[in-house]
Amino acid sequence: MMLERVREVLDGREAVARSWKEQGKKVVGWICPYVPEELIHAAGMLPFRVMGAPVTIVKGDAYLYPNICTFNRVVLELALGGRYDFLDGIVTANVCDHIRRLYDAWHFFVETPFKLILSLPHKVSENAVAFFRDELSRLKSDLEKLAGVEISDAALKNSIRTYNRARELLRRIYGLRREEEAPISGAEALEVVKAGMFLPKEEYVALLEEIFESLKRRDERYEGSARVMIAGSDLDDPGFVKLIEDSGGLVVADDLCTGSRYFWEDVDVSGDPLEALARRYLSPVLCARMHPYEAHIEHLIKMAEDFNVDGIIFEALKFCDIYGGEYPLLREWLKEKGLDIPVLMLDREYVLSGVEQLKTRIQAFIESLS
Amino acid sequence: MIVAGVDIGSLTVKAVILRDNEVVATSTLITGDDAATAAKTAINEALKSLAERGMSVTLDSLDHIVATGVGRKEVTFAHEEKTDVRCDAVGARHIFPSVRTVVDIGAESCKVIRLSKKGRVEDFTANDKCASGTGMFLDVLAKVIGVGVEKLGELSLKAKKPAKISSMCTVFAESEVISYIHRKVPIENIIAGVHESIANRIFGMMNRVGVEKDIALVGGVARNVGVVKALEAKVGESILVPEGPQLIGALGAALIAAEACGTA
Repeated sequence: MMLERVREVLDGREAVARSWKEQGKKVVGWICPYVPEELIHAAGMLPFRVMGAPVTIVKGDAYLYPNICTFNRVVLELALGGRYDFLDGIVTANVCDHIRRLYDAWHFFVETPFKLILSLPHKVSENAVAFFRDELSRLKSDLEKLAGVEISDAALKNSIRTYNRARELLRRIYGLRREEEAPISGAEALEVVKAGMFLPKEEYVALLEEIFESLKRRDERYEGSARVMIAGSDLDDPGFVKLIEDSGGLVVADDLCTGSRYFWEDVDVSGDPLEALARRYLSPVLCARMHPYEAHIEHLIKMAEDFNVDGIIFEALKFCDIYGGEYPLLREWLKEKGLDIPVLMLDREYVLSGVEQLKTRIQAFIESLS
Repeated sequence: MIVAGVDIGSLTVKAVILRDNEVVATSTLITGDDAATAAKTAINEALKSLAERGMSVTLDSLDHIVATGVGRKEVTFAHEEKTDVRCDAVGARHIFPSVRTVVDIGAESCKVIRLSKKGRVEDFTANDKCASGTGMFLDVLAKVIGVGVEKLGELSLKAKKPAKISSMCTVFAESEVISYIHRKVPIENIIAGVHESIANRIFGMMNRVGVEKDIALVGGVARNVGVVKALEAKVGESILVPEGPQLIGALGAALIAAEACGTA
């Protein structure tokens, strides 16, 4: 089956990193998609997205406040438990207060050789682009030192092309979900996107080409009593999507940083590559944290309309300032524009819990759509 | 045409039997640890009362069965399962056609459902991970106060000055209640305070969803007149309470079953 390799990667993502390291090469972890992976790739290292796992939080609670979202507490739990010891570096950005606190704790208590937090402006302006370009140039020279190589503009552009190719393929795969009966379920789509955050990009591009071709020919089709879009906080659990699809909905689109937001926009390959990266990554599409906030909501609604969705399931991790805050703005926006797209708000913990209550709410929402 | 609706709650299971859209029998039992068995027993119990009136119907000969409630997926012999949100809406509208907001307070759940003029579910909210504002909250506190849960309503009406319960958490509220008992605060005041705290919690949920008149309160806790009064005082509107409010979910399920057979 075409998703075999994807599942293999997801079941043992550390194994991917370890086999990379056996070739004498380095792995750099990234938290949050504001970190330009192209720079890590151009230095000949493997970018590896730091995610959580279903564990009980013990140590994470000792170092972080209980009102830090469970994504960050779970990640710290794993890091303190040695799960990320294979990383040669860790890079993140000050996207939200919760990630900053995770970085603080990681900085002081986890012995990763290289650690950096990028300073990320909140506004998209020419000054902000210039500032963020400086930040990226600092990251570039740090990565050069770590890898012991120099990143030439040509190498960086080459990495950007590889990444753009993966993005294009993912957008094409998403395009198939516009059809009435999609050849790929929402849970499967999330798996496909997620695998790309761990695999070496060249291998991933080849895999995506294969997946895209076999999806076009796939006999198995998915349909649901309602077309649903998921939006909100960091959601990397295909099991959550499956919960929606088992309740009769078909997830056909998303506005997630583990989904469409991760690949929706390309990086320009003409001109100065660092500036191009700064422009692409200072994007309101990547996260609702950017200002003015309307840009992200507009993107979200365009996505919903593009994929002809019947309703939106908006999930926010408990205590998530950004998405807890975006929800009422979204409701207000829909009301003002007179758009009749029903939205269900769900409070979530990073590790799937309270499944029965969730099921009832999701099923009731889908019943009301169909 | 005989159909059944069965509502498997966390504490009790309710069954309603309809014949040609008329309620002919109902039953309420403790759920126990096996939802499917409980559902079967509840329906059989209701059918037994029919047999006593000379109508002999067996479970297998029912034309359609719809299951709802938290245990709905366990009822494998049902023809369909529907969420309690939908069933509450259908059941409440059947009794009060003008209803736009349905509040359901059960043993472990509380929810608020807003309906369109035509009765379509427009929005709803439910408690997730917390028992405050539910029947279980009342149950725990009734035990501490030392009165039967069924007496709470009447007693609370005698309260002169409700004691303030500020904790949302059932466990912390319990310790607040204990401290009032130690301070010799009259129990009716404490009970009224408990009801107010439920009303506050529910009113918050109602505001989240948006309140449209008329308002109905269903679920077992609606039998507590103290909660009804406290909620009416909060909302500033009168609240409709059907007879047998705990049966509304099962009634809704039965009506959906009848519709599936084309008799509604």
